[in-house]
Amino acid sequence: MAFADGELDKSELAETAAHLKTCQTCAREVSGMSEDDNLLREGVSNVFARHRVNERIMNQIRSNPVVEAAPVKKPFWQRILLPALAIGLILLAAIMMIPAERKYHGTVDSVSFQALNAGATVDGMTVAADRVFPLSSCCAHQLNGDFLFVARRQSPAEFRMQGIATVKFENAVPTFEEADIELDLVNGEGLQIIVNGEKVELSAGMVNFRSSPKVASVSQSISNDNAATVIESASMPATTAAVIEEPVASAAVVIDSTVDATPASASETVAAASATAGDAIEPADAVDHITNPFTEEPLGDGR
Amino acid sequence: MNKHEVSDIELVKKILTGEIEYFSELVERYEKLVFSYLLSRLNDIQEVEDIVQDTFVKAFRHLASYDCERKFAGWLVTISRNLLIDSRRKAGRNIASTDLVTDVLLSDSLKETNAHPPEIIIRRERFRQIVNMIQELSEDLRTPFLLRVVNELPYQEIAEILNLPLQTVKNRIFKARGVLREKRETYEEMS
Repeated sequence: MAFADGELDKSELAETAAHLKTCQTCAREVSGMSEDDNLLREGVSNVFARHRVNERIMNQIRSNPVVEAAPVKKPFWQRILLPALAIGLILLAAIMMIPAERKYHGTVDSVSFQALNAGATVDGMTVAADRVFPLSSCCAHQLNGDFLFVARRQSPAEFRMQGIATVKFENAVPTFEEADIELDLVNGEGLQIIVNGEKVELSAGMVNFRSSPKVASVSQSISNDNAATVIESASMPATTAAVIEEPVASAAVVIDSTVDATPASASETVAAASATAGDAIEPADAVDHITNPFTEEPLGDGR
Repeated sequence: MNKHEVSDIELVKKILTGEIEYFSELVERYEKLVFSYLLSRLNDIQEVEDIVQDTFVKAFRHLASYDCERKFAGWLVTISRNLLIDSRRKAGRNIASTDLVTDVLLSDSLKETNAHPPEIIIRRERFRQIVNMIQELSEDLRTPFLLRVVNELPYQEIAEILNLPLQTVKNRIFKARGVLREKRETYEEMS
């Protein structure tokens, strides 16, 4: 049977082929099996050809090219045990009248970024300031310019990156490699990230952090207007989560960022960053929240 | 670069940076796989079409969640399976039946321009027997068997897609072929 499936190695194949030359019963069996396989393949392929939905799929996607930012499903100990432990520690600290130390978030749920200056590039391509990119675990991006990152978790954070770096979302932590950058937390609580293999804890008021001391200047393409944007953003009371939709005709992916949001803050940030008139901006709470359905059950055998 | 030379991961990356038309290439690569997977679990061809469509649209929407360590085909099958479970739950497990066989038999796939009518009739009857025999297989045997025969996937890839050990896949396909052989012999004796 493995012979019919073409799954034998060379020596087994030769041995079986030699046997089939001398054994008519086995030869008939293999031949019948192959005929049935071909008949089945041919029949199903024909049904498939008459019931394809590829055009329907693409039409639906083109009519609403929204990719949602990636939520990270945390393991049990992070979802249940860690919060329980944290609550216990907080209570203990309160009882002992000791001010709690500042907590840095080790991981975040999802991260997206957008350019803040017109000349910024992603993977070598100049990108519009109103384009929001999700940071996914499978795709590292090479960034050059001035970018605003939004890290979502229970208490979201925004930070600005200026310079050149390869960025990815590794183990739910924003990770910058080959980085020659300045980082500036502009909104939200402290955040832990990794820069050039080192853990970096960003905290409010921490400005002009440079991962590589060798380089003295920031990317020349950063404009003063954009710097003003970030300063304004830093003064905002809460962090942002925005839905940005480009015109459908542009057929570009639109990232749907959802999580605790202050709509006014979101709109202001995006509007300030955007250089394109006519973009539709919606508050995050107008979006239908969809949970990630893919990891609920392991793929089994149907039993 | 020829589109067919681009890996799934590269396509995903392009789509995530806004080039959504590359998603049609992923549809082209895996639509038949998802179709075959559902075909082995549903008997209503309209429902198969709908879930194939929903599977790819959902995959697009959640593309940023795709873990590149996994096979894209396996991820699609997982989405498809979850949608199938939802669909069955909504339908109260009352699955429509027989449409698939009728549909397949009505197809003109088995007409061959060079074949004589009696041969066509024999092949159709044979095909009807095969479909009936396959539908009598349990789902855990039917799915890997169809992925092997219809999609011509190697055992290893089937194991990765179904998230099963390689040896389990081999055993199930072996067992499916054994059951089919016995059924075929019974059919032949009856006829």
